[in-house]
This record gives sequence, C-alpha cells and structure tokens, in this order.
Amino acid sequence: MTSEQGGTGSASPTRDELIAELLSLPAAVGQAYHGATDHVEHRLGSEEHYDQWLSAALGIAGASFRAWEAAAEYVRSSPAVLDALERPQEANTWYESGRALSAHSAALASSFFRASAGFLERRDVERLPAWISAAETLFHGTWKSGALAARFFEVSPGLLDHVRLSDLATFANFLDHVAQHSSELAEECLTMAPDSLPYVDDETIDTYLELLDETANRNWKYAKETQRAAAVALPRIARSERQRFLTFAINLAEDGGKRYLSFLAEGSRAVSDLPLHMHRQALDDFEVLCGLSEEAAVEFLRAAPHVLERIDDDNLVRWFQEGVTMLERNEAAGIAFFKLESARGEALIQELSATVSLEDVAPILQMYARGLTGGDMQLRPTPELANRSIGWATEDRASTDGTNVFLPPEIALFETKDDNFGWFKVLCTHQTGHLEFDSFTFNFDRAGNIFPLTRPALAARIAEQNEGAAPRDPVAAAPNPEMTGVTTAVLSDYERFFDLFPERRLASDLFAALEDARVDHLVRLHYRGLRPAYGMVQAAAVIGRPAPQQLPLRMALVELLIRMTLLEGDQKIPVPQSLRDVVERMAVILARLRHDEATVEDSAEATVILYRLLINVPNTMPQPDLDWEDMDLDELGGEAAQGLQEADSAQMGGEEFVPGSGTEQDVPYQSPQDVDYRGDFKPELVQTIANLRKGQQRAEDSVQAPQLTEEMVRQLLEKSAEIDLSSVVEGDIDDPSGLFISSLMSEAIEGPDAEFNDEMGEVGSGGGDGEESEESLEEQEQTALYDEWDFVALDYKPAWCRVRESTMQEGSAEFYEQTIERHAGLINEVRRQFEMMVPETYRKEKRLTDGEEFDLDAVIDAIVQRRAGATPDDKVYWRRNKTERDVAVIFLLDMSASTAEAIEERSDFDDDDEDIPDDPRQYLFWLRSRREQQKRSYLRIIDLEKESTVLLIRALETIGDQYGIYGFSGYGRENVEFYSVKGLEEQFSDRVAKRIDGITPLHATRMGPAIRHATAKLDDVSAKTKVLFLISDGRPQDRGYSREGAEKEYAVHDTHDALVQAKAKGIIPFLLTVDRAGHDYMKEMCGDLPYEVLADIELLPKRLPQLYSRLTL
Amino acid sequence: MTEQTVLKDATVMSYSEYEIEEYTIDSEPYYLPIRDEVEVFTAAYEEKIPVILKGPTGCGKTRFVEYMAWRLGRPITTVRPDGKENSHGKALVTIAAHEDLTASDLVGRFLLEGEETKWVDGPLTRAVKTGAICYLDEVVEARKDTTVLIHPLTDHRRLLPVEKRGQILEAADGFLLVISYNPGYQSALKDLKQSTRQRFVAMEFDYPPREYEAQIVLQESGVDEDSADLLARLGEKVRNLKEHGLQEGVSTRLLIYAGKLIARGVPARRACDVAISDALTDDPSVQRSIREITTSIFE
Ligand SMILES: Nc1ncnc2c1ncn2[C@@H]1O[C@H](COP(=O)(O)OP(=O)(O)OP(=O)(O)O)[C@@H](O)[C@H]1O
Ligand SMILES: [Mg+2]
Repeated sequence: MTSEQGGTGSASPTRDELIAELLSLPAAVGQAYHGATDHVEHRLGSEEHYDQWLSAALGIAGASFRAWEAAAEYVRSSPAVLDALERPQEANTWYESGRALSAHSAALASSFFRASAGFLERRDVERLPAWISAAETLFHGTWKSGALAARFFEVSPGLLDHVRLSDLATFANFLDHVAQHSSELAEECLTMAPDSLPYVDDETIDTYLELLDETANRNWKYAKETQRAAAVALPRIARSERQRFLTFAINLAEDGGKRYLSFLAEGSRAVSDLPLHMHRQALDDFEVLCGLSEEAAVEFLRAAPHVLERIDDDNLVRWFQEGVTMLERNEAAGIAFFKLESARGEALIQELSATVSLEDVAPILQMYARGLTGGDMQLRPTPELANRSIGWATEDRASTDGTNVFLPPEIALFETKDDNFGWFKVLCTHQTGHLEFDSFTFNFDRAGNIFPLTRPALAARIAEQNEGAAPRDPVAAAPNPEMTGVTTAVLSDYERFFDLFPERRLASDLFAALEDARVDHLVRLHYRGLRPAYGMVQAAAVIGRPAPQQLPLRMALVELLIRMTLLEGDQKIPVPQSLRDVVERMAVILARLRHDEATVEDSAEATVILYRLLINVPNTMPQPDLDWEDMDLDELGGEAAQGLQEADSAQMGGEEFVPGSGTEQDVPYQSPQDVDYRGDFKPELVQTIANLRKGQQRAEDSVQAPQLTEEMVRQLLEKSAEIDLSSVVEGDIDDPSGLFISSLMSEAIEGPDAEFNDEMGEVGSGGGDGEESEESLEEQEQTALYDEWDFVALDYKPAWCRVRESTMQEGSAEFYEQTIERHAGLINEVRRQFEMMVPETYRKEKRLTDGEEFDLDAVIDAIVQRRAGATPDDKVYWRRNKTERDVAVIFLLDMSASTAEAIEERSDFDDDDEDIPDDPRQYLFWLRSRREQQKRSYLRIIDLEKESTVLLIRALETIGDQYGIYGFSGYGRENVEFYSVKGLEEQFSDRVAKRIDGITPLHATRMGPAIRHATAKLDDVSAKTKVLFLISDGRPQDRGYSREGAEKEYAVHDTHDALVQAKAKGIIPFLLTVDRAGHDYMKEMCGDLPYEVLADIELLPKRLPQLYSRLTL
Repeated sequence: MTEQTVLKDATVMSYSEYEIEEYTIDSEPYYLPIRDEVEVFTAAYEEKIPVILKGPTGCGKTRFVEYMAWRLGRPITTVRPDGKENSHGKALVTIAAHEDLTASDLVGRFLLEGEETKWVDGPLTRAVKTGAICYLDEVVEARKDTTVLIHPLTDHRRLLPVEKRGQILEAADGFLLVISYNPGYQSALKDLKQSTRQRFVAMEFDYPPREYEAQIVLQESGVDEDSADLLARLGEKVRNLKEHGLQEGVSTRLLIYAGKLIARGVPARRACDVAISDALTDDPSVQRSIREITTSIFE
C-alpha cells in the first residue's frame, strides 16, 4: 500500500510534507511521532522505508473517524514492533492489517497496534491475520464487543507461551459464546486466562477447551468457575491423567447442573491426596463407578485417600470391588460404603489393613503385660505420657514410668497385621522386662551377682576428695551436716549413682545400653517364644544406625557398644585396631553382664567399668590412621578375651574418674542414636517420681521423714541427662522448669491414675455421701459409641452415635414421699401382687403324686404302711422346684420434650410434633416458653412416668430383682443423653429417690442408641431373665435420625434393629407407649416383640407393675 | 401308677445310686511337701483335731490327704458332694456344684432288698466305724443339714447320731474328719458358719512356688525338665491374671495336664491352649492374652 501510494500519487509528497501532515493531526500523534521517529528511522535504515512508514500512519489516520487515535498508537508501538520483526519490510503486513481494522473500529485498531509487539515476539508476521480474525469473532460492532475484542488483543499474546494460535481461536469462540449472555463475564474469563492456561499443556488443551465450550453451551453462568476450577484441578493430577480427568468433567457437565464443578474441585483434591502412581487406577475405578452411580463415584474419590492411609494399594482394589458389588446389589448401600458410612465397609478396611492400632490390641496386651509383671499396671498410648509434662517428650516411643507401660498409638511398619502385632509385643515385653527384671528397684548400696560392689567406696573417695579440695565457695565449703543427711536419704539411688560421674551423660548412656542389654538378655532367656520376633526387631534396629567410622572416637565406641547389644555372636562390627583392646574389654563386660543372674546393680557396676575405659578415650574427630577392621562379636567377647576379666577385677576400685584430658580437637560428646524398640528409658526420673510419691504418702500418714523439696527436684532437673526441658515443655513458657516441677509434684500427689478416668465403666455406685463425691459423679460423663442401622443401605453406619451417660441430677425428696402417700393403696396392692412372685427357697418339692423321681423315703414309708395293712399314700415323687427367680431389668424412660405435654390437652395435640424446632438452641427457647405457658397445675406425661417409677421401685424392692432406671433424650447423633436414675448395680438410696424428681423433659428421642446402651449394660450382668422395659410417648425422632425419602421409617427401623439385637442377647425387650397414635408404627417397630399401646395414660402407674410381673414370671 | 411299678423302680434305683466305695491307699502317693504341712497334719491327727484344708482348686489338697492317709497308715474314705465320685483324688476332673448332698447320703439309709428293708451305712458312718480319715471335699456346697451332722462329730464328743435307727455312734480311734473348701469363689451366702469353722484347725494351701511346681509337673506328667520349668513359669504368669480377667489362676492340675500332652508329643503351644487358656476361660480376649504369654514362653 505504501509503495502504491508512493508510486501512483499524482504528486508524491515529500518527507517534510508528510511530517507536516502528521503533525497537523491531534497533538497525541505528534507526540508519538517525536518519541518514535529516531528509533524507527534507525531500524528501517532506508529512506524509502521510512517514508512508507510515515504515509502508512497517515493512511491509518484517514481510515475512519477518530482513526488518528489508532495512528498515534501505530506510531507509538512501531519501535517495539520493528524490534520484534526480523526484516523491516514485514512491517507492511502489520500495517495493512491494522489499517483494515481501523476502518471498522479505531479503538480496536489501537489495541491491535499496542499488542502487536507482544504477538510478534512470539509468532511470525504471517500469523497476524489468524490472530486478528480470532479477535474479530468477538467483535460485533457494538461498543461492548469492541472492548472485549480489544482486551483480547491485550491479553492473548501472553497466552501464546502456553497454547497454540488455533487454541486461541477456540478460546475466543468460547468467550464469544459467553459474551452473548454477558460480556462482563466474558471479559472476566479472559482476564483469568493467563492464570489458568499455563496449567494446561499440549495434551490437555483440546479437552480443556472442549470443557469450556461445553460450559458455554450449557452452563455459561459457571464459565468463570469452570475455568478457575479446572486451572486449580489440573496441576493436582498426574500429567498422564489430566485429559481423562477433564473428560469426566465434560461428561458430568453434559447433565447440566454444578456437579462437574465440585468434581473438578473436590475430585482433583482427592486425587492429589493420592500418590501419583495411584491416579490412574483411581480414575479407572471412578470411571467404572460413573457407569453405576455418579454419586458413588464422587464419594469414592473423596474416600480413597483416607482409605489408602489405612490399607495398601493392592487391598484398595479389593475394597473397591467389594464396594462395586454392594453398589450393584443396592445403590444406597454402595453409596454408604463409599461414603465410609458402612459398618461392613469399615470391617473390610480393618480386615485389609495391616496397621495395628493400640486401641484394638490394648486389652490383650495389657492383660499380657499384667501377666508378665504381676501388677495392675495399665497400658496407655505414649502421647498421654508426653502430655503429662513430667519429663517424657516423644510421642511415638515406648516407655514406662515405673508403673504403667506406654506404647505408640499404632504400628504400620510391616506388611502384615501379625508382624505389626509382633512388633507391639516386643515393644511391650521390653518395657515390662524393665518392670519384671527390676530396673527401677536399683539400690545404690546393694551388690549385684556378677561384678563386685565398688559404688559406696567410690562415693566415699569422691566425698573425701571434695573435702580435701580448697574451698572455692565458702558456703559450699561448710555444708550443713543435717542437710547432707537429708539429701542422701531422699535422693534416689539413681541420682546418687549418676552423681558419681563427672561426665553424667556418658554414664547415663552407658548405663542405658547395658541395662537394656541385660533386660533383653533376660527377656530372651525366659521368653524363648519371642526370640524370633526379638531377633528380627534387633536386626532391624541396627539398620540405619550411624557408621562408627564417621563418629568422633568416644561416641564411636558407645555406638559400638550399642551394636554389640543388638547383634548375635556370629555377626561382625567394625573395630579400630588401635583401640581393639578397649572394644574387647567392652565385649567381655557385656558378655559377663548377659548372665541369667545379673541384676540391675551389675549393670551399674558394668557402667562404672566401661566409664573408666571410655573416659580416657578422647572424643576427637575420626582419624584416617585408625585402621578399621570388621570383627566377629564372638571373637571379641569370646574366650580369648576372657583373660581380661581378671584384669578388670583387679583394676576395680583403683584410679579416680578424671574426665579425659581434653585436647583442642575434642568434639562435645553427644548421646547415641536411639534404639527404637527399646523406647525411652528414664530410670532416674522414674525413681524420683516414685520417691515423690512415697514422700507424699509419708506426709499423708504424718510420718516425720525427710521429703523431696521442689528445690531438690529442680537440682535434679538441671543435672539429669534424661530430661531435655526444651522438648518436655512446648512453646514459650516463662519458666519451663517451674511447669515441669509442678506437674511432677502434682503427679506425686494425685498418683499416675488421676489421668486414667476416661474408661467406660459403671457409673458411680452412689455409695459416697459427701457433697464432693456427688459433684464428681455428675461431672463424670462417660461416652460410648454405637452403630446405627440404615435400613435403606441394609448396613450399619459404624460408630455413628455417641451416648453420653451421666448421673441424673437430684431434685427434692418430696416428690418421692408425696407419691407414696398419694398412692398408698395402689402401692399395697402392687406389693401384694409382687410378693406372690417371690420364689420359694426349697430346692426339692417332696410328696408329689408325680414328679421327676421317686422319693425313696416316701416309697419305703408306703411299703411299710402297706405291710401294716394301711392304704399307702401314693405321693412318692419329688421334683426340683421351679427355677429360682433371677431377674435383671432396666427401665428406660423417654425424656423427650413431648413428655412435657399436659395430659388433659393431649387429645387435641397434633401427634406429629412437626413444628418443634430442630435446632437445639431454638428448641430450648421454644421449650422454655412452652413450659411457662403451662401452669404446672395439671399433670404432664413425664409426671406420670415419674410416679410409675416410684411405684415400681417400691414393688421391685420387695421381690429383690436387680433393676436399673435410666432416662434418655438428646439432640443429634453426637449427643444421645443417657441419665442414670438408679444404676443397675446400685442400691436404692435417698439419692435415688431425689434423682427421680430430677427427671424432666429435655430434647429429642433417638431410641436406637439408648436401647443399645441399655442392652450393653444388661449384657454385662448375669441373670437368668433380663428385661429391657422402654416407656415412651411417641415415635423415635431426632435431628438427622432419618434418610431422604424415608424420614420416619428410618428411625423406626433403627429402633427395631436395636430391639432385635437386645433380643439376640437374651434380653426381653418390651415397649410401652402412651401415644395413642402408636398403633401406626409400633407394629413395624416391634415386629413380633411384645409391646403395648396404653389407651389411657392415667393407667400407667397401675399398668406398669402388671406388665412387669407378667413379663418376668 | 401301681404299687408294683413303684417298687420295681425304687429297687432298680437303689442299686446304682447308693453304692459306696472304700479306698485304701496302698502305695505311696507322690507328694512334695511345701512347708511344714506334713508335721502339722500329723500332730493334729494324733490329737484328733479335725482339719480344714483351704485353697484354690487343683493345688494339691486331695493329694495331700491321700498322702497323709498313706503315711498314717489309714484307709481313707472320700465323699464327694455329688455322692458319686467317691474314690481317690484322681477322679476330680470337674466339680459340679451339686447341692443335693443330704445328711442321709452321708449317714446311710434304709434300702429295699426284696421285701425286706435293710439299713446301709453311709460313707461317713463307715469311716466313723472303721476309724478312717473322712475327706469331705468342697463342704460348703453340701446342704445345710449336713453341717448339723458334722458338729457332734468334730468336738470332743466325736459322736455321729444315726437318727433313723435311733443310734449314736462313737467314732473309732483313728477317725478324723478333714474338710476342704475354696475360699476364692465362695459367695458370702455360702460361707462356712462360724460354729462349723471353729471346730477345725485350718491349713492354707496355695499353688506351689515355681521351683516346687516345676518339680511336681516334672514328676507327675513325665514331661522333660525344660518344659516342666517353662510350664511352672507360665503358671506363675497366668496366676498374675487372677482378678484381672480370670476368676481363678491356673491350677497345678492343669499344668500337669499340659505337661502330659507335651510328653505325648502335642506341640507345647497347642498343649497350653487346650490345657490352659481354653480350659480356664471362655472369654476370647482373655484366652488370647494367655496365648500371648504362652507364645512368649514357648517356642
Ligand atoms: N505338693 C504336691 N505334691 C505332689 N503333687 C501335687 C502337689 N500339689 C499339687 N499336686 C498335683 O496337683 C494335682 C491336683 O491336686 P489335687 O487334686 O490334690 O487338688 P485339690 O486341691 O484337691 O483341688 P480341688 O479343690 O479342685 O479338689 C494332683 O493330682 C497332683 O498331681
Ligand atoms: Mg480335691
């Protein structure tokens, strides 16, 4: 064009004319010109080209109204564009395209020019038209569409780093579709593109764009969300699986709706939680499930990472297949399975999982450990010990505090449950070994069985030395004799022992290694069945230990000692030849300590000997001339070396402990790496705690004896090598040692069991009489988890409901007394009726005309009589009496809100309770206002329940049946409240009478878990006849006690299941309802189990004893 | 029902039901004294002081009485509460808590023989007459009226009233009543009355200490020494579980059973399962715990 203009113009204008014309345009053009001209002139080189450039600007400016703006932009962007082009002539194409555009829209052309450099830096000039046409698809002549197209120019060059030009065209199409609905949204999508497209690679781009297109067609509103979700999702997925993942999203999107979005977001998150190599399989499985149930498929993805935490890859396949089978049989069941809300699914995971959790094996291991140690020690998870902040810090290493044994919460080291359990057993046995073989009863002054006793003499010499030394500190030089006496009396034996050593940490490490070795030896000796597992664990313990060759010398020797304690005789360890005799001596001492009769005192003496050896070895960095050589353990500690024994004995009691003459190159000594299975051995701390407790005991018994003071504990804390304060106490506490000391002291007062009250057991017996015990009883809430039956899925939801049991609060005793007065007549009647049920005490009934066997005496009498000529009595049989009465019963009272209904009003009350608020807070409010409305002048259902309870108690006390009275209510599955009015094993007392008055209407009625909890209680007692008597006023209902499409049936079915389960346990369940509409659902809820719908609620007090006596006869 | 059938049945019954065995210990029973029980018992015997043997099941009470009977050169008559297992101690496999042992079961009764009635002495009467040691095992299980019999027999009078015949028997010189009971699982209801208790000297038995028990197991079961040691060790550990899941610790008797099975070639762990863990309890988790102890101790 330029050339044409230049060539054919009648009078080709001169450069000056061109420039003048240009400058006559609005000032912006001139400004642009001045800014660009030098660079352009330089780039274009030839004058001809420069003139062409000038006239092109004029051409653009003339293309349309306000096209001068485009011209200005043309001029302004020229330097950059020319830089981007290889040859200046190529600028023609650019100019032409721009001019054509500016004929349509000056604004658009401006954007084009501005963005061109960016484009040309990335693509050839020939591709310009394609780019432009992509932008033009967006432009429909309107201002808005122009703005969008302009923005496209602006944004798109950058995108070319990630996508092809053709993809840009497709993307523009998508934008255009969106823009047809909302140009704002389209623009937002465009703006987001630079953030999302980088995550899309060559292989996925087509599918990605397809997804966008699909969205634009069906769900244009979610265009932005889709783009964002996909951008977030893609990087999470293994590269090879991205395309497929998007295809799933497209398929889901075809249904309309938003599910594909949550799939993009959550599905990708779930997949990203899987190891990369599992992505393919997970998506394969997902695909399979999509064919069956999309909901199940999505749930599967969500669940998979959690399941994989518990079982391995291969087993995931089995789990998945089981789920598919279930899904094919019953969709609800399959969905519940993949939602992880299925008891069968849970059981399967547990079966497939190799992980062994302490929770599961604790009962067995605890009993095992008690058998081994002979105490009533407890087995607890390690975090509990760490939480006590009394010196233990690690949360995963086994330990013992001298009373109880602590094990890690779970073990998943091996591929089978058996191996993991075996590891647990080794951990446990090592810890109980410390208890069984008396690590903690170390006595400073007692001799062992192997090595001669040197400790007291050593202590005396050290004391002498200290006295002889020049007094540096005048206070320390004049010790209070009384004080010293006290100190030795209360110091633990271990503390006295470790006080012998200037290098306390070294001594502590040596002792731990030696004592662990002694315990291991005795465990292996006495528990030979454990040897294979023990051997495996010990061999594994060596792997991953630091190479001695790389350690400073003294530490290398300690490391060698530890290896020697772990390895068998025929295995090898590296030995520095120049220190061979030291290693040999260590081996000999160790061999002697591994004696069937060795005691903890021998470990202590062995520590003294090894300490002497090692303290003379400088802790220098490893020297190359050490000459390491692998040696047989047998050889080292074997007979050849035994000759050294004598030397050891002779040397004993000789020189003093002088810390090794440290040289400049000495490295500070550090403790060796832990041996995992041996856990955390803290003998000094254990003895100190024991002493603290003893001191506490003495104080309580007011025995005058020296006591450990805080100050002494603080001293211990400062010197002991066993406690690392920084790890015991977390965070920035001002005085960590203060916290430590106070928890240690309170431990001594409360005893270790103060923390262990969380176990589910019987609620207090009510025997206590002080106010205090009453409070603590009420505080003590105990919880238990129960499954819930989902009748649609035909499966249990595992551990679904939490029953919280507590003792009913007490009201006044008046109610009980008044009821007795008011119903004196009825009470007498019921009592008489019950007395007739009292069992006879005879075992044999004699003189019967028929029975099990002859009564020999009667027969003889008969013969004698016949001989005498009299008519014999033919009552010659005897029979065992009917079984003795042995009944245990639980009465379960419905304490739901509806029992607040006044009885008179009952007839016009809508049974469905539909407008009772579900939210617990609203509900309470509703309840309160409702209660206020009702003047308590008339009887409520609950009052009749209470009265009936009183009558029952009177009757039951006469026949001596074992009985418990409980009330239940609650809100939601996490809060099934269960109140004990009288525990099954509790004696009747005034307090029980008062608790009856405490019975009050509360919340909802989740019957299933309450029944299950009562069933568990009955299952714990032994009685020939067991009865579970439930008194309710309406159908079971609670928040979430339902299922979509089966609101009411769900609760009814769960209750039915709980009743059937009770029956299976040999319990007679009986349901009495005062709900006259009860016939509707009672049949379904009880099936063939007995129940009664009481027509007139006022009959309750009278009817209840009748029913009871009939049930138990 | 005719008289005849009555007669016939009664006759048939009387044969099988009330047969009484006398049993003399001829060869020396193996008994390993744990403390001074032999001396104490001998002294009591010489002084005609009745003896009560207390102790858990299977700890050697019966064996001790057998041994003493042999040592003192006296025939021994043993009466089980069920009236059936009335031979020497070897028949004590299970103790059915029979509550039907009556006074006449002990003293004797009239039986029909043809058309005649005939008095037959009960085991206690026989012992009284012949001057034997009478060992009443698990006495608290018997019916209350039996204790009434015991009273005159166990104080200075040493008399046995035979009510039905209108007689009173004075015990022969060598007669001694020895009763046993297991205080472990008696409910308060079934405890011995003080008036009964205080007629006896009491000797407490318990499971033998490990070394002794190992020797007993070795001797009685014929198992090798090593296994006998381990069984005794196992016994000790399992007894630690008493009150922690087990009602009773494992008896020496069961350890001997295990030893016998091992001696017969049953693998040790298996022998311990059948003779110990499964025999002791039905609770699977307690069984499992005991099994874990077993598998730690035995290879
Ligand atoms: N001190 C002992 N010397 C020899 N054998 C013993 C000893 N103690 C126990 N036994 C062995 O234990 C077995 C069981 O003992 P025994 O039958 O005497 O028990 P028990 O105490 O009478 O039990 P129960 O109360 O169940 O009748 C005996 O057969 C015997 O083999
Ligand atoms: Mg016996």
